[in-house]
Amino acid sequence: MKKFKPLSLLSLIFLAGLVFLAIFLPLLSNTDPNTFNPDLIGDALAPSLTNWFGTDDLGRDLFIRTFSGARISILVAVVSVSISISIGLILGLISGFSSKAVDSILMRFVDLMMAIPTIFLILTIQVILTPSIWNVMIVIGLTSWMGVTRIVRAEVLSIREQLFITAAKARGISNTKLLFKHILPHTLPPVIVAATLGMGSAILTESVLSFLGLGVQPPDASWGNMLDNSLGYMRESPWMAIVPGTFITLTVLALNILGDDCRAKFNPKES
Amino acid sequence: MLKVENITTIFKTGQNTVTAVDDVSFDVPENSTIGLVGESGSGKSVTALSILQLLSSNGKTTSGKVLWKDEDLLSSSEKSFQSIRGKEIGLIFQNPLAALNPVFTIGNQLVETLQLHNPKLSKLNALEKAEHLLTEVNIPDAKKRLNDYPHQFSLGMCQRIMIAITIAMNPKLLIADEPTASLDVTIQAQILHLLNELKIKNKMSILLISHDLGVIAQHCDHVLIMYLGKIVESGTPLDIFKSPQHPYTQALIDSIPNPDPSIKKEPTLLKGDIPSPLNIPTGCRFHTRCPKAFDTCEISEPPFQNHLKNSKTSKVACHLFENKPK
Repeated sequence: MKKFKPLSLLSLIFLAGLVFLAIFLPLLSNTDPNTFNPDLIGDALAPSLTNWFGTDDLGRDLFIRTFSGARISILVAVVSVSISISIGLILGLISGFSSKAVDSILMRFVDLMMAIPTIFLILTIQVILTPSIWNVMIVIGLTSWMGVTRIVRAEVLSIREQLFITAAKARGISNTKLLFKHILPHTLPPVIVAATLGMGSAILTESVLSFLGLGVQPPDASWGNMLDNSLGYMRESPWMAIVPGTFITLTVLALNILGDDCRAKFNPKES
Repeated sequence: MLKVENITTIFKTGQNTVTAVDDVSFDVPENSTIGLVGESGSGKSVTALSILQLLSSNGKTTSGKVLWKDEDLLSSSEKSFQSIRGKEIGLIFQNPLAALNPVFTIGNQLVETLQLHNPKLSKLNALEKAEHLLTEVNIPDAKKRLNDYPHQFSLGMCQRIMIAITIAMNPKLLIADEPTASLDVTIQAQILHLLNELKIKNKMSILLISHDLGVIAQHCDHVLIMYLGKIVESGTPLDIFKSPQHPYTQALIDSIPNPDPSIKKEPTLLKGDIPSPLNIPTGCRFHTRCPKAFDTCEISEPPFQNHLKNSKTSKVACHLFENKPK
């Protein structure tokens, strides 16, 4: 196996650290991320040795809140991407391997889904149902599988014409086995990239929703509603925007760098 | 054992229909090697793929029969076809590296094939058998190499692995589609020697597709010459090489390079290229390039008949031999 590139190693360390702190920091810390001291209201503190990332307008420690918010972001990323990859992979495989009629129907359905502006759909659903982070995850998952379907379909179309597929067929391998055992692995490298990119965009979508007040509800922290919260204090206390903003950017960047390196690593031809 | 009767295979490309194999018939008896010779684009490979119905999605065998042990494969269900592919009829290809799945180890691919037609075989026994098969096709250090990926082998080794996978189920017929075209001559000799050994050992027949007349002459019991989707001449290697009758066969044999530098011989070059199968010439399809063509050739298609006095096995499709006594 090839070693990771230094940059993706750095990304891996960053993400691992993020996951670790997101899981354990809120458990171990005796500071509750949501309760605030009434005496400190309206007076955000700049980063210092006691509050590493500073505090917000309610005097809550931003370090704790950032990692408590990271839980939400990671959960959203993993759950929604799992949903979208599962749907995308299965429909893509079917579409690429089936008859022209089935393929056309599925692809037109993809076009239809793509025509729906995701953010408005999510907003509508969040308004109709009570805003909940689980709704956000499911809706992001159900509205972001189309890209994966197209990628997988395109891969299947090119792989199914390869000689080794004809050769496998000549050995008497059934179509189902051909599709899931011989074609599926070849579609995974781009899917891994799509998954990491999807995680990045799911984190962004969640941030947008929380920023708009329709995602994670206060007092629970999420990077999006922390940003939303910072709006009024941008001049006096810029760290309130910089901290969640930096984490969103770095996490999405790290996922993309890692995804790209994974694609190269999982390809046996390049090892 | 295998009887191909008048098969015609077409491909649809956009508005056009290409007839790649036109009314081809031949037999492959037990324990024999049949050679199928022709230029690129003459329909050799398509014939092989038509037998196993592995044509790409725009291809279709529109008429004829492929009789395997008196059962017509073309009308059999996909399910029963799957039990014939690999188990009774094996297929190996010109480019062995492309014919092996790059993401699985060769051990994995061997075990898969072994278990496919014998589901009761345990993984351990299958691995043992796989190792044995690799040794049989002369891959050194077989046990260790089972864990290697196809790209870690040379082309010649890949072809031997491909042969190992294909003979895993002891097929009764091996279709070898230009098995040595991408290999150099010493490796080519090894592969052909191996195929011959296996043929005798496993009592199988081989349908050897090649454009290399030397290979064909050495290994085949019966030779078929194909041009633009039709068989133009057939006979024993002796018929074909000692007294080639069809002008195309003569030109083919004439163009074999001779390794003796003292013999300076200019081959008779055929005019132009093989015509596009999109618009096949009328009459005899070779007339556009035939040095001996005359008026009739353009108008009517010559019948495929025996014309040679001293041979019962030879058949040729050419107007030059018509009206002559058998």
